[in-house]
Amino acid sequence: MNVSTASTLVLLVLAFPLIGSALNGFLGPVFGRRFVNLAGTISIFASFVVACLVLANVVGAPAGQGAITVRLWDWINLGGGTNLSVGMDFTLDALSALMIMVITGVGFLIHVYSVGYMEHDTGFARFFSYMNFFIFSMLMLVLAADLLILIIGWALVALSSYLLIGFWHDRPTAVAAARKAFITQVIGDVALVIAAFLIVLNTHTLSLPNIFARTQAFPAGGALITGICALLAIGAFAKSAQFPLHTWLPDAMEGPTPVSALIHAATMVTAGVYLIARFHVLFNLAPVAEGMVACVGMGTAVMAGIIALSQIDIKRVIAYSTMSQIGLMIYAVGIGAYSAGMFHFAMHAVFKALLFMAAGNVIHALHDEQDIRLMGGLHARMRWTHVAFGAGSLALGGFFLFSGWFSKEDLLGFGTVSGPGAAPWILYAVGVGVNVLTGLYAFRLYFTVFQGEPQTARGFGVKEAGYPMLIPVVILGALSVIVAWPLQFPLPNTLHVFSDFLSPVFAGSQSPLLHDPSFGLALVALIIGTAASLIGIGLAMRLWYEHRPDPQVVLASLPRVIPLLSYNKFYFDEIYDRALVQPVKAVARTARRVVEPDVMDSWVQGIGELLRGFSLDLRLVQTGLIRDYASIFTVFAVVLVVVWVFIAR
Amino acid sequence: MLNPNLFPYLLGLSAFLFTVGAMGVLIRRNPIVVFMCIELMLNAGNVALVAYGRFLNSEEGQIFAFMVIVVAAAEVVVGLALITQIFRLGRELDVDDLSEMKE
Amino acid sequence: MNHIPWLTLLIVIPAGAAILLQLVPRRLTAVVKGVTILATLAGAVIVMLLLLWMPGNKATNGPLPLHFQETHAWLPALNATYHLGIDGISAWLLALNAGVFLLGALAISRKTTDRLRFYCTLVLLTEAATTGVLLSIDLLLFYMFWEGMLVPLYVLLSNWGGDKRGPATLKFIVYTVAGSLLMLVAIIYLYIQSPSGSFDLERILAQPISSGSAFVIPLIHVTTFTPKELAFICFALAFAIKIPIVPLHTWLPDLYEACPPAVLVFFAGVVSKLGAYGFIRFALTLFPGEMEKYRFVLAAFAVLSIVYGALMALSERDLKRIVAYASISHLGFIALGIFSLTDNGINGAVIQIINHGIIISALFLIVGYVESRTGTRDLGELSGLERRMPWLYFFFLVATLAGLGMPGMNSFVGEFTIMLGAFQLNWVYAVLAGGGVVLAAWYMLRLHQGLMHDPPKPRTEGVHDLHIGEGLLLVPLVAMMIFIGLYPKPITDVSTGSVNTYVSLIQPAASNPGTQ
Repeated sequence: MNVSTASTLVLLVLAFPLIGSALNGFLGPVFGRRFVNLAGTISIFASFVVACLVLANVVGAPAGQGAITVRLWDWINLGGGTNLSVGMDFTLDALSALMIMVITGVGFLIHVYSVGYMEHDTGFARFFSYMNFFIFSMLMLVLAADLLILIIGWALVALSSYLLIGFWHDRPTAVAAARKAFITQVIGDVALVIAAFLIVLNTHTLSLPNIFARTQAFPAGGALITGICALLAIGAFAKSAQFPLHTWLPDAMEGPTPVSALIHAATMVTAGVYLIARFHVLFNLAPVAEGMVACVGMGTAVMAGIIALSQIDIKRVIAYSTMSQIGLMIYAVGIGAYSAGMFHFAMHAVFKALLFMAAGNVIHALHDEQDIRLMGGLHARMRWTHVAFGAGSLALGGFFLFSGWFSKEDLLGFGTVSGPGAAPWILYAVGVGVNVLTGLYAFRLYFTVFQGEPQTARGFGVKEAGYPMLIPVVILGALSVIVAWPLQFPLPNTLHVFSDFLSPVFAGSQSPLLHDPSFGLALVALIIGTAASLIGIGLAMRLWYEHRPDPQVVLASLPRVIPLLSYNKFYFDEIYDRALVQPVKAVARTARRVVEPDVMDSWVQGIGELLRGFSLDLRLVQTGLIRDYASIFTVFAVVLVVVWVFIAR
Repeated sequence: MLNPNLFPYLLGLSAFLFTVGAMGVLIRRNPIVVFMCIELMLNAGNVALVAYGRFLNSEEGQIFAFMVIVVAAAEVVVGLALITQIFRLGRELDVDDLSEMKE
Repeated sequence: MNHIPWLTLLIVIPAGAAILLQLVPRRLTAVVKGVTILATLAGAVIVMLLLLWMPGNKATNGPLPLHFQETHAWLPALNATYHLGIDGISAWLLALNAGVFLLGALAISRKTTDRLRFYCTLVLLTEAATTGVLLSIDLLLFYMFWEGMLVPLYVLLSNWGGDKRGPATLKFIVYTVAGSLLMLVAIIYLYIQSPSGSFDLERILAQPISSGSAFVIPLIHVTTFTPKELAFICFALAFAIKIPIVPLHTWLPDLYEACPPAVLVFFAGVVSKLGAYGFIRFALTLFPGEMEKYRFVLAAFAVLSIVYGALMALSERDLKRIVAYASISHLGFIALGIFSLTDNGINGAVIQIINHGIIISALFLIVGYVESRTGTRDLGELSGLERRMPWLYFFFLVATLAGLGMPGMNSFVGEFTIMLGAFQLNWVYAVLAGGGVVLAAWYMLRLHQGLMHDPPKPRTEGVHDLHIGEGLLLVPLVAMMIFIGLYPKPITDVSTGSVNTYVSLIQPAASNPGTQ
């Protein structure tokens, strides 16, 4: 692949969704629904075709040919001491090819699904315009070969997310959720920007290949590189809904379900994983930051898993499950298992998009009911959706030979060979616990929604979804079973198509935390992990399907604090509200009511008042009597003469 | 021609006339009388100017005196016109009564 | 083309058009408006041509890289000259100036006023004065235009202002005149002290001015300022009031609240940028040592402006006041860029001056449209406009994103480089400014969502969307916001050279403080 081919491909893959977005936004309301449906889906499909070409080119590239970077135009060139010089640079390598394949592939299916889902919504043109724009932004983010361009894509993604969360703008909750998501993202943006400052001031470049080539500017393990990586990680946490910047994701479920599937499950929220994988050269120099990332990832995975167990909104359960799974990916890239993290990202994109869309079918069939306590018994009435959801749940729960099993066991296997000391083993043990939790919450959802008896009258009258909504679900359902088979097997020295494909990206630099696993250890880890998943699924079956024992009894036997924390999402919303939002608002109110009038303006007014008072006093002299004036005049004349004659001499 | 010894007396005359004029301005309330007193003060100045001019043997004192006379004439024109207007308005001729410009 | 005095034309065209308007009968409003638009359009075209020619035009070898200079004797007795010139910084400000006044002229409608000729005359005179401010190299000439600008503005505000125009205008005039008089004192000081005995900036810069010895308070022996430092403080106060920097800002919200939207377009768009321009052109060149010495204090005030303006914008309810305080916050960024005294920061400030002019004009136009349709500016009474006004929603969305520094939009370019400069000064400033960015997202979304989302309220029922004319006014602004965000290079390519010259003025001063 030469540079001109590459730049054509990059332009095309970016242009299709952008044109689609503009067509839908400006012409959609004029030409109507059929036009929007076609323009919205075809643009993404065209982009997908180009992405396939990119993949073919990357796979077919001669060995040893690294990433190809193309510059579309110069963005800024300030020169000077800092030499801030940025171009509209895009890169094509295995990592970006993988990302654009997943984004456009899953994205296309979700767009097809949206045709059915938004059938009765009046804002269809706006919706497809935003969705297309999201695909464009996400592609820009993953293709960017310059940190500044990456930040632009990073923020545009947040913008599309904001627009789509608040899509139903008549709902105050949706509007508030959109704002919360956006502001959290801005915090992450600022962290990235400051990281960019540190990088450009030390390496005099923001271009990713150049940064990675000039790592000698950073002493390994030093405070500088650790700070940069910590800031990058904060950006990643904001985007990937990791602790402590995770609270926006559950609220983001206010958006339409296809949005949750595309943005808040498959693609955008995994951008944090991509960012860390992309910057693995820097992270490999900062073991402390890597450790922090791994701990935060695993911590979020556990926390979100516990919360998912008690939520009653079908989409929120899946949202917390997403948060938990991304936690695992973050953990993987934290310990340096980049390929494993990216593998789980790809598999997760498939089965999580599936779960969301199947949930969307359920919600649609029940006329916008999202409370799982009012569902149940849908398996007989929504056969295809039920089968697909079951496949997705098995993949999520890590059932043997389902796609999630390959990626999750692969990922956890690396936990056994990461880093010195006891901390990695603790993290690994927690990871096994997460496997149990995943099985539990995945099948709690499945059993409550699809098994048992319908809980409301509406449940008896449900119908299977239409074809536009069913076909993508079925395709993804099939994929979530088989997609991993030809790609990767979670044992060393076996089938490794996926990690071999990515190895040119990650081979150059090895994390100090990770060493190669031995076959035996990996096998033991595989067996332990699989068993943990099965235990989780089995427990869920006992609790929510066979009702032996009743879940309420189990809850009652636990210390009260655990269900309380779980149900209230560890009180993070309340804590942030009290500790951050309200104080800022109070300060702002004080500024307006007290500081502005009494401090900022008072001294100005004070000078005015002073002069006014002085002039009022002075006015008393002005009696209007000519003889008074003459007397004063005379007296001062005499005084002047006296001073002149007797004193000044 | 003029006896230089007379010079102090001339200055004394000027000072006397000036004081009389100034006291008149300060004490009297009739604007016409006030005017006359102002004229008296100006002319006291004229006496002093002429005396100095003579004493210093220079023409400038007399030139200044002529200047003052012209100014005084102009002033009288304006002032008497004002006084006539006030009288026409039917107001009492009392300077203390004319204080509308206070505010 | 070299024989035509382009810069003089830039001043003469609006001033001449203002005189010409007096010959047009008052009733022919179409002609009056046409003349105004033509005059502003001619100015815009000339500025565009100058920008195109500038790269090919050789700058003079003076202390400043000036292009298209014109020098004539003005007051020979005082050695004051009629000296005009532009560099890479003022060229962009001129472009903003011309563009915003063209917009202001286009925004005039029958609804603006029934005394159209008077109004147009004042607008044109204001343009002549602001153009003069941007072109003058001579200090006295600069001062004349700087003060002259206030006269038409005062008449505009006192005739067409809102309810509270009396106190607001008085406060503005007194505030700025106080600052200007201090600057006049400092100008006279420089004139007396300069060995060149001239008001001409280039000639003053050619021979350094001694800073004099600091005044020591007797008895307690506290060293105070040198005379030159005092002169610097006078200049800085004049410019800081105009920008404005907190705590000298209180005239701005009151004035913007009282100001009619059509006037605000160029008032907020250009007039408030002149303070920032003055800092770059005069304070930086005349007092490099003093700027260096006080940069941390000045930058601290700039950061205070950013955060304080953001907090106020977060708690206000009046649309115009929200935008006014947002403006203070943004202007704080510009000031921070200048006070960082780095090439990145000053380049960013130049970009941000242009960006802010574009954004604030668009925001005030939008606020004006909303107010004229709903009859209120209270955020609490407004909501749900998106469904009624989809086009306004689109334009407002872009303007909001630009206002909150969205990457990919124009203000991100400026804020990124400014914060980079601030980071080079001290990382704390950059982090605090970053906090300002987060607050900006908060208050801009509060404004945007408050107007656009949630179910409609009584005031917002039955409003109609923008007319085509109103929409067309916003199109170029919004297009610029996106274009500069995607391709800022043309701006910085012109400004970088000049900025480097200015920064190099500081470097020797930094190595040898006091320039004695």
